[in-house]
Amino acid sequence: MNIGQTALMGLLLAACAANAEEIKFDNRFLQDEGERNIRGWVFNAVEGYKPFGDVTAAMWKGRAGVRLASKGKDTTVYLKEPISVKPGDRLTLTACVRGTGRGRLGVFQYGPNWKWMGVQGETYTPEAASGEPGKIVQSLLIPEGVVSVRPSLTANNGADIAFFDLTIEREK
Amino acid sequence: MKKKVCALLAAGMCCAASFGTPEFAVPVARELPAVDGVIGPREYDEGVRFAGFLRASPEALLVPGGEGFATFLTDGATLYAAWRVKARNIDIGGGLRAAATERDGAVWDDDEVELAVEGDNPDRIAHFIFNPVGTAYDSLSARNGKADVTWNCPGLKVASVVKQGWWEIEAAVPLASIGPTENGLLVNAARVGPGDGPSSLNASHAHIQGPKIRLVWREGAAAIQMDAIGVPAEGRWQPSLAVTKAPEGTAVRADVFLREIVGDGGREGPVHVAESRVLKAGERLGVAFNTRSRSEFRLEVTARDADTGRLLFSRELYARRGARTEGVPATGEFDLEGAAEVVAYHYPGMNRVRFNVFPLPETEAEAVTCSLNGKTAALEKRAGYFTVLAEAPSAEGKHPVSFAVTSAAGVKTFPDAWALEKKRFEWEGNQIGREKIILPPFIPIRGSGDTLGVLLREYRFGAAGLPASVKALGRELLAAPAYFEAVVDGKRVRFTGTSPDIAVTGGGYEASLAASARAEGVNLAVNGTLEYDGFIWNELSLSGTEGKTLDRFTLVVPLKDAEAPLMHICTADSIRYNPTGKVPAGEGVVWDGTKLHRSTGFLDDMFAPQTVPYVWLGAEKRGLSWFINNTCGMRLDPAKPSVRIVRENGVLRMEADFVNVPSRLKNGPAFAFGFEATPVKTADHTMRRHFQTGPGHFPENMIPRQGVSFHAGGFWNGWARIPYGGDWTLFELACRRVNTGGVSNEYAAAYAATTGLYDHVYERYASDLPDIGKQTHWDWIKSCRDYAYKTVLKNSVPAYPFKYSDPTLTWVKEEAVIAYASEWVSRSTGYIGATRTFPTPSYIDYILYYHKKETDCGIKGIYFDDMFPVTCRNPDTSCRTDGEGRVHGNFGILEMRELVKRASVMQHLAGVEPRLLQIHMTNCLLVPCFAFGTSMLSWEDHFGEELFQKRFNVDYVRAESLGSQVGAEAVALDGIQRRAYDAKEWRERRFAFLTRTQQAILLPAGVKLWLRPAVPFAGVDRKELFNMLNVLGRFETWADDCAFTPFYENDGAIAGEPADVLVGSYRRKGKVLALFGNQGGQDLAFPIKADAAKLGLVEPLEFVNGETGEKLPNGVLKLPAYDVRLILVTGKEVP
Repeated sequence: MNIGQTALMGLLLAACAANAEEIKFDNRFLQDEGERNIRGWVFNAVEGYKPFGDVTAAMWKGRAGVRLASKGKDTTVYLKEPISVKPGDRLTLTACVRGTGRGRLGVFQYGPNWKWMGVQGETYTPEAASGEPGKIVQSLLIPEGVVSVRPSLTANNGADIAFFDLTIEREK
Repeated sequence: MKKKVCALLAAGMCCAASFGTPEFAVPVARELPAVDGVIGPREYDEGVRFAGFLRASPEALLVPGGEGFATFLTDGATLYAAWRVKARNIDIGGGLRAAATERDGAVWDDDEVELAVEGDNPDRIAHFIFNPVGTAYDSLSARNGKADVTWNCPGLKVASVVKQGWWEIEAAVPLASIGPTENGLLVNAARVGPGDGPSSLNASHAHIQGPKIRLVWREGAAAIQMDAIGVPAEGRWQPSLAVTKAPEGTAVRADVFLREIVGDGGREGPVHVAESRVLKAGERLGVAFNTRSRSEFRLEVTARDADTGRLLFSRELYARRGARTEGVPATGEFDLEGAAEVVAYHYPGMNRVRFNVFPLPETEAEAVTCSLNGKTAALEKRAGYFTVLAEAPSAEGKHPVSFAVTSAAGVKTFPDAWALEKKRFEWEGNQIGREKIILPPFIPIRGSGDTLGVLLREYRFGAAGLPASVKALGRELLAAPAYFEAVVDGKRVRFTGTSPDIAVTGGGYEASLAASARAEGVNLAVNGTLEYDGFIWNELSLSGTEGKTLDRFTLVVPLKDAEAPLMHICTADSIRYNPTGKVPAGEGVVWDGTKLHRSTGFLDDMFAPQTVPYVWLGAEKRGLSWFINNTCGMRLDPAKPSVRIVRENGVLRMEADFVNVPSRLKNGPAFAFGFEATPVKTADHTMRRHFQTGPGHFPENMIPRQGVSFHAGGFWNGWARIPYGGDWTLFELACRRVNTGGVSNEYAAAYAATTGLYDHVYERYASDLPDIGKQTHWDWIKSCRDYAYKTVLKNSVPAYPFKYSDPTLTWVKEEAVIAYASEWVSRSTGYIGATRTFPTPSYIDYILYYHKKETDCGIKGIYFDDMFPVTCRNPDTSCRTDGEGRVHGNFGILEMRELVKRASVMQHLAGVEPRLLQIHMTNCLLVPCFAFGTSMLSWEDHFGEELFQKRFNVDYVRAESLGSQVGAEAVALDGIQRRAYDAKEWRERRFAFLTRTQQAILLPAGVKLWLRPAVPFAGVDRKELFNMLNVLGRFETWADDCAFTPFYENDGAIAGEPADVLVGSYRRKGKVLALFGNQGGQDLAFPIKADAAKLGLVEPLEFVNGETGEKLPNGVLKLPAYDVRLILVTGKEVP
């Protein structure tokens, strides 16, 4: 599935979500002290991902975002505070992206007591390398056993991708 | 130590363009504001504005009632600062205190705002304090230096207006006065008000040396203003951020983010607001969020350049609905959902709990009841709330509390709305120090007719139980009997009566007095108690006042003027202002109570603010103190002096009014007051051998008196009562090390074990605290601890250990302090981890239990810090409420006395010898409180670089620094600190010379010095000091055959000195050490005249300089200006 198809499907699903609520989370992407430190987000500093890529706050015409520049391995940030969910919830993640290489917009999923339940989300290739970012939408159905998720943003190996205006809605 | 100023949590502000010091860019202003005290709607559009003031302690939260903002604007030449803050009411003047009217007056005691400004030169930090009438205090400080208060900012303009419940104040500071500002300015703005305590933009109380905000000015910068936050303490968040000025095309991304913090560990909770908007000039982002949650909330407001993302503005603020800043802390705050809010105050030591129920406006509550432990109580309706002081269960455990709220709509019940938790502590109910024994050197009371004798003094009681005679050291102090005088229905009358009934009980431990008197149909009944130290407490009541107008009711004590050349009068809630020294000259009223310094706290606490808590009149030893504990029963005109000192024809009268406004009294009022004559006892001469030393050094032959620091003994901080984990091992070994000079290996091993065990907890705690200078808080703690550890470890001789204790401060994280907070805490302080406490009975039990533990570990001496009256404000505990419902603050004089007395008994029974109970009274020598103390610590009130003779005049020293009135050792703090003096000259000459000028006062007076740890060239010059004190050590001034004759008792045996020279002497068999202190600015040379017969010496006499060993040719002493000489006088040896 390419990014265009993902976006189209997401838009259709979003339109069907007649009664969606916006989930409030830290989508300001404020740079804090220290390398790769975005307020409210955690850099996925797994040893296997060395050399670590760069993570910097970004801004485009008033849209707040984060730029993930890989240095050969996946570069990921995820939201520090988990979002509570129930199995069957449908989350719609929307962002504007630009850059080069492949990236992923998705969620880390957890069961009770932080039991790891895998990653959900599609990879895609931004339509624009620079200038106006393109909009992408991910619609994710929360599977059985998952009680919380953390949105995650990834630039795959060699990619340099900026995400702006990240929002999440939950279909009621 | 008093008035500690700590660098505190910089929680309120997060960084903007750079990390570390927050930086804010402001445009270079083109239109400058008029400094007229009115902040016009667009006047500061080119400035940056910060809403919300944060306090640092006990939690870094927004100050409730602290709505308002501070604004900074500059054109690069002048800094304009403007505050808009809440007044306390909408009356004229806004209910704000503004007593100071002179530049550099006591502005800090008023409602005030503060401004700190620092340019490129870190040694020029300007500090300003402004009060509501625009009075300014300004000072200039160097880095880590003392403030130069003589500095007045040239061209400073201030204007202030208080109107409709708001206070607006503007100041213009010419930047040339600060020095270069190439890199912008570091600033902080603060708001300090009674009830709220100090607060500032970044939660730092260290306004001069603490963290600040950097302002830089750039052409074309956008002006960002956060001008509102709502009222978070009431759960209403309404933050607003605006771009008030920006060049065409500028866009700013603004974010408002509000998150709830949940759980004990401060876990992040739900995000309630996450709003953003791109703003152009003139636009704003405002949001509103109301909450009933009582969790802490964090508000973050940021502004970034919409194109580059560069951070332009950032504020991070914390608040909690219901959070209080000062005063009695609540045990619990909870909601009766949809009906009311409740604040609970649990007093476990009294088995009481107060519930204040605040109905929501829509409830229209008519009645409220609460049920606890099977009992239901109706709450009393007051203005806007319902209240009850209910009986609390004494059984350990959680006890559910239910409420019922009655309104026109019916009764709504709230079962198990809250749980009252009662805990048990091992110290509760102890009887330590309550034994009714007569402490040495006191003796039992001797009774004979209407006369009662105590050590060194004798009282004869007359009408109304008042002293008719007071003899001290065999001399009469009174010119005539004391009496009560009244003006009844316009007629001035004196109360007359018979001698009191007196009974001595308890084997001379105490005596009771019962007396009555009468005047113009008004009856007076007095019940008094005399204790064996000479303390008298009288409780009196008037009757027969119905139908009469009592214009005045006054106690008159006529003293012989010649016996009372000195006075010492104490205020409450502040120190360093107490009138001390000579009684003013002249006839008539020479002093009255209007001259007493009264801080804002004092005025707030007092129903009768003209009252004077404590008066002592006398000489170096003999004298009489008079005191009250509260103003209960009094009717005092707020504008009239209630205490007067009047001199007439050789009589010095103290007149103290209890009533001085015309009063028609249904019930006769009741009052209480006390007397105590001096000298109370004589000091233990063996303590002359003790030398109080921080670093461990001590003069020849003396015994080092060494503090066992909390750091060295495993305590969290100086206010903690229990070491880590309740393990006393390290502390016990530290005491043993100091006591014996041994067990170094054991102590070192225990230190390593303790720090290894608890450091991770300590470090976690310290990680939330601010940096100290260039060190992190944790590194700073470790460096202090390391010093304390090494000081104990390097001690290699048997020393006398003592421990610091501050009875008016307590460590907020101790379990008992949390459980008893409502009962003990009187107000927040701003000290890290400490809160101000009042010595209620349970708090005294708590303190003494742990002092006993420390004594059992080997501690001998106790050092009580902060011993001055700090008023209790809580009517449920120690305040008094009169028959008409008026609350009278409690000065704590009786409570401090009880604490000192019980501690003394505990020490005595533990066999502590000599018994050191050191009172850090600074300049508040309260005779009844400190009668059992054995060491008085003074001289913290005039630190500096000036000659000591210009800081402490001799009369001041005579009145309060000698310890002689309470018969205690006297110790002074060092207090030599460079401020503006040339550094080279200071190191080479001045520092050492100041040490000599200090000793020129102390040595002839017999006052000792505490050598404290200090940075080089501060405190006191050790070499110079030891040169002098070694002479005393070699002379063995503590020997049984050594008598000391202080300068004020010089019998002429050592004479010849010109005026301006104080002469004291230690006299032993066959030798005398004479101490000459020059108080004047003339170099002197004079022959010493020594009376060999009086001194017990045999002619010819020889005079030798004790420091140099040189003989004085022909006995002529050369004494430079302000200097001191120690001269050994010996005679011909007699076989």
